[in-house]
Amino acid sequence: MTRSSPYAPHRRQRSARLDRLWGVLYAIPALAFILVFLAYPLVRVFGYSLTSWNGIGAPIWQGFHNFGALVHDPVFLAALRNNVIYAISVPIEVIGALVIAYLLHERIPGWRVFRSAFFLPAVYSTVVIGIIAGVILQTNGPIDDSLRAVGLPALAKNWLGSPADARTAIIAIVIWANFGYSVLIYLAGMSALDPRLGEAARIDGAGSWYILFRVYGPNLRGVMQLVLVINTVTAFAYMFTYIYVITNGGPGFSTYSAEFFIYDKAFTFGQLGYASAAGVILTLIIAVLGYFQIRWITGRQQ
Amino acid sequence: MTNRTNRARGPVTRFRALLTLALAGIFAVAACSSSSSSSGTKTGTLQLWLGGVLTTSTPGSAYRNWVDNVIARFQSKYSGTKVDVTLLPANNDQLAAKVESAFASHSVPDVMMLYSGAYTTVYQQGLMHLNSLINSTPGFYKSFSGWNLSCENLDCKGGSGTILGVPTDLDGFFLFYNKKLFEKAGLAKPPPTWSQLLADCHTLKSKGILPMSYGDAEGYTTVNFLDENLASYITQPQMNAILSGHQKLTDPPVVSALDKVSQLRTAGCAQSNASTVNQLNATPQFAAGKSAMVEMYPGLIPAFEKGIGASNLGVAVIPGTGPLGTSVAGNSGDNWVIPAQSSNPKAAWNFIKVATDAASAKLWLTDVGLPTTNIAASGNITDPVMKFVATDLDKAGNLELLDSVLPNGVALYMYKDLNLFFAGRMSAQAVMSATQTQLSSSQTQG
Repeated sequence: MTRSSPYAPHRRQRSARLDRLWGVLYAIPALAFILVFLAYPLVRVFGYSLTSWNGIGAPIWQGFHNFGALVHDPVFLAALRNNVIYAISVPIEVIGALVIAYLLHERIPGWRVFRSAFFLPAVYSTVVIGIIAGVILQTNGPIDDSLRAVGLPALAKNWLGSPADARTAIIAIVIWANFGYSVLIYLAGMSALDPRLGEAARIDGAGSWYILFRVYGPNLRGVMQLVLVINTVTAFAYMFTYIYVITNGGPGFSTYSAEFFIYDKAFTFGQLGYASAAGVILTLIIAVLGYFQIRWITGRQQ
Repeated sequence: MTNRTNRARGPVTRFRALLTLALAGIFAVAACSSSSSSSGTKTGTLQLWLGGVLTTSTPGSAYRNWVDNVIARFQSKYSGTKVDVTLLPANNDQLAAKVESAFASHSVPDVMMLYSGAYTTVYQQGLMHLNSLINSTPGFYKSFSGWNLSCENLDCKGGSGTILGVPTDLDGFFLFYNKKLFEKAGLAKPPPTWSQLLADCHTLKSKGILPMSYGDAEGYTTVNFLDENLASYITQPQMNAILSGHQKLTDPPVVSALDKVSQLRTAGCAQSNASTVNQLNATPQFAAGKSAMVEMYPGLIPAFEKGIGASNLGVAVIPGTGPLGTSVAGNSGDNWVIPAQSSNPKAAWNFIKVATDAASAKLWLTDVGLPTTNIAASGNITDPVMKFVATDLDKAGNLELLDSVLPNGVALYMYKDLNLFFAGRMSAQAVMSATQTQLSSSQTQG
């Protein structure tokens, strides 16, 4: 009964091989999805970026011409600059949401109402947010009417009429729309903290701001970094719907983001090769940004 | 040992079985979806996409009445074919995006109405050449006017060129005015000159009347004024020279023609939010009797007559500011095309024949309100406003509308700069310089 079989090691090896085979088989669906929906499109987009292609006829090879043209394209450069401008929303979200989350965590009077109010925009679709914003910001819309009602008619204006105003409006709307998520993430982080931390600090005579930034802050570093990454990626890669619905890139090209530029070139102007080149550049920019952010986060954690 | 092994393997085996089932399910769904997508258009169904002026043919509208009438006549003549109607977006950017992605993904309709000129030729690689169909229908080519903007290189060469579409109407832009509001302001007639137009704006404003509805969020109203004003600065050979690169959009006549349009803002003709209101959201103001003037294409005549009364609607040529004097720019506006990958090209051609025959063209005049290219039907115009625009658009030698003949991508680019221009944030020279750069590079960008 205790005799070991001379074939046992072989059987174990075969079993291990079988397990590996099954492991590979289990991974096939996920790998297939990654290959089909990520790797293949990436390779094709890079291929198209080296061509002149209108989406209808056959692509015509032209090497790196599109990349050279993009570097000198004032609309593309302005779109990239706008992405950086839209990223102004990031520090406001990171710090502002932290403060609001702290106030809600401390259960200030009416905290339930405030919590709902801050989170409400997060449950609306981006298109709905954009349409609401468009109505609110229109000339003689609710904002202008309110300004007139409180005796400030001089401040009433066409809020989407100038490039600077339109960009500011977009930033404000993005902050409003995403604030709820950031607050929620912070609240989750704060609820995981030991409540004795705050109590001990308060007994020692610490004020609310001190507790927030000196006691909670350092313990929420990981959460802050998560909020930072999410909002940075939003500013660079998730602006399309806001811009499409609120300004459609206008006035002129002044509120274009890189994503909107890519869509516009591909599907409005029928320059799919050129748009693919812009897509490759944007992918590289986001990859580099993401790489440094992740390195920064993991470095801090170590 | 054995039992333990079996127990350990039990869930794994079940999991593998589940996985196998799941994979089989995925493949089955994929197979079903691929087979359903490959079936494409259903047999006996004609996929009809409405672009151009018919983008606004929403159910219940006069335009839709025309579409429904054509479909009913088509179905009674060619029984057994169902027609599925899809409205394309009225915004040119969105329309281009929808059509472009349809061609790129090979999900095209059987027959489609598109704006003529560069709005059609941009898709020419994906469009069926109609020459053989037209030649097999005796007398068809000669029954219509305004062919050139429906052909390759915008030249039909008397029928021997490559024909991409069948033109349906003549288009241009006119100044429509509300006679009652003009009388209220003490104005007896529409402005015959540009300076009089600006003076009339001042008079109307002083009486508390909004002089002009001006919706320019997309740059369309400004481009229409530019299109028309250019006719007082340049001739068609000069336009052709611009398109072929022998003259430039930055040349003084073109820049001057645009520069003058800004006076409509500085003189207070347009409402304060003109630059952020869509063109089709501004025109209802005029139809509701809330503004004295509007620049528009004739297709809105039925809506204007319904809104302010036919006897109250006046029309005039938009005054020009250039040395050639006031003149009209215009060309064929819309045409029917058949995508090369249409699954029902024969039915599509039959539909086009019904949609452009004399009976449809006659209804086109009353329901759609655009002068028809059908020569037999164009003699039936009785409405004085329609007669005025039809007579002017029919004049030989009209300058073609600039944005109809510029490469489509260049026109779409120019609209955006024109929006900035009318908002006072870009000079006419800068707009034309940027547009010229796009025109020069349109052949080299991918």
